[in-house]
Amino acid sequence: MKPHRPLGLIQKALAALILIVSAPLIQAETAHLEQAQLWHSPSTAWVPPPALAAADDAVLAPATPWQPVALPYARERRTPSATPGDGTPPQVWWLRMQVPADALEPTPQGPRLYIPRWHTLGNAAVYVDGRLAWQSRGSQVLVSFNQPVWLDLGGDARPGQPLSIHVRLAGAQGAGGALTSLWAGPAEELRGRWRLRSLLQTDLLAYVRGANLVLGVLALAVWLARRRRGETGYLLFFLMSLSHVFGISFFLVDAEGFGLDDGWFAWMTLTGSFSASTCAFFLLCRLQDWRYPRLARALLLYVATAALALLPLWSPPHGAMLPLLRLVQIPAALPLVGAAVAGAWRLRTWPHVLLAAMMVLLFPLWLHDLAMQSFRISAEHIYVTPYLYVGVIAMFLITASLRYQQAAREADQAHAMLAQRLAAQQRELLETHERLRAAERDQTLLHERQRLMREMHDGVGSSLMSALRVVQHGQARVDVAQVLKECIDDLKISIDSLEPVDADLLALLAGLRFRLEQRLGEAGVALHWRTADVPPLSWLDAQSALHVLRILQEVLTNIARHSGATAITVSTAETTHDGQPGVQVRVEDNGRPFAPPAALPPGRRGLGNVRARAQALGAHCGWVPQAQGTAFTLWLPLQRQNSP
Amino acid sequence: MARGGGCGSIGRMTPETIRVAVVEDDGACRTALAHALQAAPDMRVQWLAASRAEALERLADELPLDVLLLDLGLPDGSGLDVLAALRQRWPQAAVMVSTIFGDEAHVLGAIEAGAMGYLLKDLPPQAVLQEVRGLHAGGSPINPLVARKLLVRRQWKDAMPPAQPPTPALAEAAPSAREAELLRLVARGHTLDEVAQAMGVTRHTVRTFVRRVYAKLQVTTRAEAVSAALRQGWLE
Repeated sequence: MKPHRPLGLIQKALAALILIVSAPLIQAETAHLEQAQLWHSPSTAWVPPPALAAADDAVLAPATPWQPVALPYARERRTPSATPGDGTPPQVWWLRMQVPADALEPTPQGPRLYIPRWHTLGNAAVYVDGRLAWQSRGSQVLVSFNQPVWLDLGGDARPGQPLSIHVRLAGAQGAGGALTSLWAGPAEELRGRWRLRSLLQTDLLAYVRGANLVLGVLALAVWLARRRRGETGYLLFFLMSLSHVFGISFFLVDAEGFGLDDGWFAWMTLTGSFSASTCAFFLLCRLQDWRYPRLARALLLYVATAALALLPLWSPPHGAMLPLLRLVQIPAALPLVGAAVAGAWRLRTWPHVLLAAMMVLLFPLWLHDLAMQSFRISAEHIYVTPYLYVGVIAMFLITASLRYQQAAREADQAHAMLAQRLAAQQRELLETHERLRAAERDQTLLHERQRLMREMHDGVGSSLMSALRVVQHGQARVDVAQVLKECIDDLKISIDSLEPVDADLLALLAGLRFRLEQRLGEAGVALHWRTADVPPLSWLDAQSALHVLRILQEVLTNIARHSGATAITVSTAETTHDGQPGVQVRVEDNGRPFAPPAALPPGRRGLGNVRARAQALGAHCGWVPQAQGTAFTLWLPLQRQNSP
Repeated sequence: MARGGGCGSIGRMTPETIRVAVVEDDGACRTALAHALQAAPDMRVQWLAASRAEALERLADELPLDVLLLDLGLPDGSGLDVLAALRQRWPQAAVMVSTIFGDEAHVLGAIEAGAMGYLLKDLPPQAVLQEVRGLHAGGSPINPLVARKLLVRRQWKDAMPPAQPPTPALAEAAPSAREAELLRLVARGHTLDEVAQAMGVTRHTVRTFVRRVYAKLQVTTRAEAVSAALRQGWLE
């Protein structure tokens, strides 16, 4: 299994490039030390000696049984029974190499020693020509295994002479360890190689971690701003980024350490990983609009239990069991992988398929990293799982952004549809309005026609009919001229009713007087006008005006015909009827007192008309016999409740 | 017949004689009017006409007129043409338009065109004579419908803008306070006798007030026409 091969190729290509660029300046030749001599020392000292000469195990003695080994060299890790610092002695082993003189030729920057990786559960030290040139510091459990060692050999190199290099590794019993091949040569040539590895192993991870955190904080800000909308996806993304920061800090330990307790640090990275997986799972559920309630509960239960159980407060020091503990993470990641695969199957969109593919790829890569940690494969590989998380986060971003674009498109469509619907409703409203107006016109025409028909039937028409009958039958006792005069009066009053009077009752009455005065005068009746100002009657349209005119016309002509009166007084006043405000028209005569019978006698059809018209107006009328004459009152409301 | 009607009473002519002509297309109506007028000692029918053409022809005659009774709806055109011709020929003559209803649309239109009164067609003969005498005496009839229209006429207000100095013609054209009071009372249904009593003047004076209002209406109408023409650039 060599998934690192592309990385290795890139590395080599870059190195070759740098080599080509700097070649003309450099005479010195880089030495790649792939062979070494190994010795398992009986030493029990954790602390490396200040000089080889002072070593407690006489490493410089000629009798030391060195064995040749190939680099990179690894001692397999078995689950350690001990942890550095618990009082048990270390396993110490030495590796000895020779840097050829060619590699140490003086250059402007001087010669360097470059060790891509060392790893054991303990410490490492490098001796150049017997002198302690470098040693690892910080924690002995969470060592700086991911930081390449870069040593200046300038102080020790002597022209034309090789240098001997001793590497001392002191690790816990059974913890195993590994050392890559070494490089020695001018800085100008080695620098590119060293920088590239630093970038891939730590720097890039640190950058990504920072960018991730920035994105997470941005998501948190969005979530805070839109908290009421319940968009927990943003919060989950923030938590995922934060967890990722803690989760990958394991790979970023440098030679100085963080100064944290090993147990807590390990717990922090573990729970960071747990939390990152859990948040990713829930976020994915949201992105795919799918719920796995039971799986979600199981995941939460597992993660909480594991995080609690592994708290350094009660669990034994487990720093030495780190690789094993990483297995604990697998169940926490399984739901995420499952959801990603199920979602990809269901949604069939490229981001989800790619996400699922990355999730599935997680397992071999994880196994690769686990094997590296157990020193089962070459230490020259690079840890890849941190990058996979980066990919996962990138995929989340892409998916979310696609979803956002989709939502924006849908919103645009919704807007367009809304506008269309609005326009349609406007059209409909206009049409309805037009129909209503047409109906109103029809209704008005119908009312006008009914009014005219009734008018012709009751008024002019019937008068003309009776005149016709008189003429046809030669009835001498009816005066045809009188009938025709009344007919013309009716016509005039009909026409007057069409005259707009602006709700002015007095103007209406004035017109009536103008029309009837002469006829009444001819009948020997004097008309006295005692009208007082009254409030306007807003309902006084043509039809209502005609009702009022006809009522009073009927009353006045009846007085003239039947009562024998010589004077009529018309007055107006503002009065109330049953508490309702209104206007009263009073017609008093000095003829025979008249009280209308309950049942109208034949020939007095006019009285029925008066009552019917008054009812249509919402008015009240009545005759009161007086000592001398009769008082007729017509009460009209100021406001009419219901239109006729 | 029309020509003959005029010549018979020449001998009775006195300075008080009112010289009347009638333009009426309805034969029965025309005859009835002619009879009524001829029966009156103080009146003399100069001529009768049944159409616009005939009326214009008779106007060209040398027979002077004091009063013209004019039906506006003639078979061969509008009576308003006859009205205009009369004002050219006999400026001192007064015109009464005859109408069935006395509605403001007909009456006011005729008055604006130069008529001084109106005559209801169904008036009894004696009432017709009274109207003619009243008109000749310098008075004019009015009814509530016409009075009301005159009161609410927008042109009065337009003719009296408070902000800008009114032209002399328009300033004179606005009804005076007494004239406005007269119009108000009539519009309320009061008869001219009641109005005269209320205003403390004679019935005849009231009728002359009405004539003045009509004359002002004519002035206003002409002034409006002129100002409209000025606005249109028809006149220099």
